[in-house]
Amino acid sequence: MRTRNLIMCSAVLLMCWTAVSLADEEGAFVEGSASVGAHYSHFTDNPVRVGEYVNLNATKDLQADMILNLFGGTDNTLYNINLDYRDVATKSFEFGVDTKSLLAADFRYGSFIHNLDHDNMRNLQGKAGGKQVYNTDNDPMGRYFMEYEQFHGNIKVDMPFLTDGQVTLGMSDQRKSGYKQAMSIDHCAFCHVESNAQRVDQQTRIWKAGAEGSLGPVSVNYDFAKTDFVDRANAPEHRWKTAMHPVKGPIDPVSGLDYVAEFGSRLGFHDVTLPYARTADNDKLSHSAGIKVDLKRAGTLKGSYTNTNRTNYHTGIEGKFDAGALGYAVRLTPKMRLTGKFLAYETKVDDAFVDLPLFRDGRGAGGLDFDWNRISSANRKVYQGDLNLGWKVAKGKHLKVNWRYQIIDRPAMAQSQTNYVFDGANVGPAGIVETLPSEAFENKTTVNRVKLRYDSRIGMKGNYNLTYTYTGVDKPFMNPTAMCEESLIGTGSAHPGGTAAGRLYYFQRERFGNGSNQASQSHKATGRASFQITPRTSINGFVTYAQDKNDELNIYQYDRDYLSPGLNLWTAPADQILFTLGWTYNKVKSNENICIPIFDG
Amino acid sequence: MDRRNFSQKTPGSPLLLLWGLVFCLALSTGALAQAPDDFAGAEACLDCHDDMAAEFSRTVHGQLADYEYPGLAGGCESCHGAGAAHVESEDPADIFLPTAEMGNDGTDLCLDCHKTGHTLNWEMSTHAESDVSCLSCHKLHDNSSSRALLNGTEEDVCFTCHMDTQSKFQLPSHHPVREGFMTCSSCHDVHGNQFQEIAAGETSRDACLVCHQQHAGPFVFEHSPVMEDCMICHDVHGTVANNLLRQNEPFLCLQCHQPHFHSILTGAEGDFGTPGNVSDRDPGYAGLSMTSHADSMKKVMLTKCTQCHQSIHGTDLPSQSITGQGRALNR
Repeated sequence: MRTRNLIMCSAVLLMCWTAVSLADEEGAFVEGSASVGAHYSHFTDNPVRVGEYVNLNATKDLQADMILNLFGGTDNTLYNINLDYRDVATKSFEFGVDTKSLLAADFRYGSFIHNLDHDNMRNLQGKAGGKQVYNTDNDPMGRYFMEYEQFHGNIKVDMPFLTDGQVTLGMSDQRKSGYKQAMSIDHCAFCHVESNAQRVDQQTRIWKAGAEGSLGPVSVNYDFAKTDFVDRANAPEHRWKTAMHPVKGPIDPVSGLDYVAEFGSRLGFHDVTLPYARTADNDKLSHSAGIKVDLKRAGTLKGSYTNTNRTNYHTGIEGKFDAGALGYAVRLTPKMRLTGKFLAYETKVDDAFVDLPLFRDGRGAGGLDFDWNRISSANRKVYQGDLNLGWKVAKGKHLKVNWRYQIIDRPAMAQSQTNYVFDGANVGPAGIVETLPSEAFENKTTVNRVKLRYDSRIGMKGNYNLTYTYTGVDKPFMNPTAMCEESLIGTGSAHPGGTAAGRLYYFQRERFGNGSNQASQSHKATGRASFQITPRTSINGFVTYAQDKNDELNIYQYDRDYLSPGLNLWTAPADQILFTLGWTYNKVKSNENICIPIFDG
Repeated sequence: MDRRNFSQKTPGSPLLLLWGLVFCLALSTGALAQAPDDFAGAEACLDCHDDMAAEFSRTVHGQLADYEYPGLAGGCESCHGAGAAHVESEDPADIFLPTAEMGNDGTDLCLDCHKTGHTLNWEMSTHAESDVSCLSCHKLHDNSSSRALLNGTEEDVCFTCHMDTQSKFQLPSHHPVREGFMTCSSCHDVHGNQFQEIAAGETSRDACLVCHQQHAGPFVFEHSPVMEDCMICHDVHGTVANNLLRQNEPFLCLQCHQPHFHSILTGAEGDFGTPGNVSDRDPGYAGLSMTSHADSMKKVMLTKCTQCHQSIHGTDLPSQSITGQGRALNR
């Protein structure tokens, strides 16, 4: 914050110096507007739903507000000052100066409140047999919010000795502070969900530098950015309780069995205080370069390359992104324009080996090793081609046809699922014959998209456009084998309800159903029209209809219909008075398959 | 009429390509620039067009430094070409009018100077492909005090075409655009981005991470759709469901997951002030009480998945169960 305050002070001083020093110069001018007012807000019930961005601390009294816009300069310099003050936490300030385009600087500061939900967890109370779910809210009256403060500063300096040469320096500083609800769960005997207020003190600072220039038809640019993210608040901690039998407690009162040892051996940790809801500090380095060659009548050629590297400070895990793009745009005829683009990128995140304690270590039929190597589902190679043809059919009428072909090749589509495949003939410690993480499945997605758009004027006072998009996807993103469990009954000589019943308490069985809300086929049509009734009155409307389906899921067909029409009336009876009236209707209908596994009760 | 070489692009050929290269290189040195005598100077223009005089001098275009247009005239003639003949004859036919005489409202003319920076990717942008011109959003005359010479506020300009998006910002959960704390360009590169059409950042996910760095990771325990595309779960412009979710929980989650088997259990009627033997033996459970009824387990297990799976955007901390391999995202 110290740096930002320093920069803010410098910006204000620069602003004052600029305004004062320019006031006496020849040709100096200043124009602007100022308004002072007051507002009052009152909320009942759940203010977050209707006042998500209202400073609820400033709703008890009448709040003065002020808007100031100044624009001034001389023959050589222009500056603007904009201030919007609504309350102590909701305000923005901007200052910009441009000196003969030789030096241009822009500074912006703003803050606002984002109110967050407080879940009272009333639904989390249930008991059925030995299964019990409890909740504890350690901050029942807490109001959660985050205050966003953002500062942006950019300075652009022209390089007169280089055609179109410019050097830019920029800095962005965002701070989020406040409290949010953090919930933790332990499953040591019962499910116990506990809620606490978590302090948030996050800061994202981005430093940017760039250079650009051109020589004849060739224009180049280079941009560098370094992003640092840190959360200075300590992660909350939770006491995971002692594992035990949910009904009989730590020791079987009859047999004397040690349930702490038994149930504890199934868990990675218990009877310990540990952090949770920890935010991962990280940084990101980015280099990006682009080149454009203006071939005039032969078109425009564009190429670019970007490399980024992001590191998680807590774990050291790195993610790398490399991308290259080529594009070509040409006017085939004065009325026809063709664009072709190709993009290829690769994302590679370090593998992470997850070392877990042995399951039921030292106990009968125990000692199973569940260690695994996490292959990031961010990993992928993507190849994408676009062809676009724009045709000016007649004056005021334009037709666009776009085709996209995309391949997303991943080593693993989803990492959230591992299936334990039982050998029914040999159910026991060796009965788990295989685990099937999603790497075993087809993870390559192919996308074909065709888009048609027609724009037209309606005389001199109106216009409309119609757009139709078809998207066909082979193997859309899904959670493979995520739902619907195979029955073990009849799969082998040993009935799982018999000697091997214990298996059912521990493992999820093999699942075969794929789940997704992504479409394998999508039709989307939109229409929009505007008409100016009088010079001061206009009406416009739109409608969007989409029909999606996924017929590649093996257990059901996902369908989704979306309809949203809207109508807006705009009228300005005088320069300072504007009325707008809008109506929008939204309807979404989708289906999904819910598989509820039945075992252990 | 004397005009600059703001020619409309016609079918290319190798010769044209060669000619273009030679011409552009020559133009960059000023070799083909028009003779100074053809130019009248901005003051001559504003003698007649005095209604534009004050406004124009207060715009960036009215204050260009000489080095920004080597070999060419500044002021009005930067865009309208040499005006001496027009000053002499006062005939509109003797002055170059880009919007009338060039395709796409004279966008090619703008790009002659605005080659780099924001507009480096313009030709490949979705807006350019849709025949959107510079003047669709910018107003060059009589507009000196507007930011970036926009024809209104940023939202006014964008929502002229994107009305369906404007309506989404009116829904209960939305990004604070209508409150004025964000603008469309907070997330979109309206002049084109080298990779993801108009979304800022390398991927659309990176555009979200600019403000939501806490979800960036990379984490040990991932939630795959978070790594794939934020918009699998979120509709970023606005939704009825809270937190910009496309659907309320648990229905959103159940599109890709099955619920726990506990959701079929029948709850027990009555108040359970003492949770049985366990509370007597572990102080961690002391004082807990609850009310259960016949549907309680269904409410617990089929209401809100993120009450237990809180770290839904990913975490480095393993969850408790060994058979779950630490990947339950509840820590």
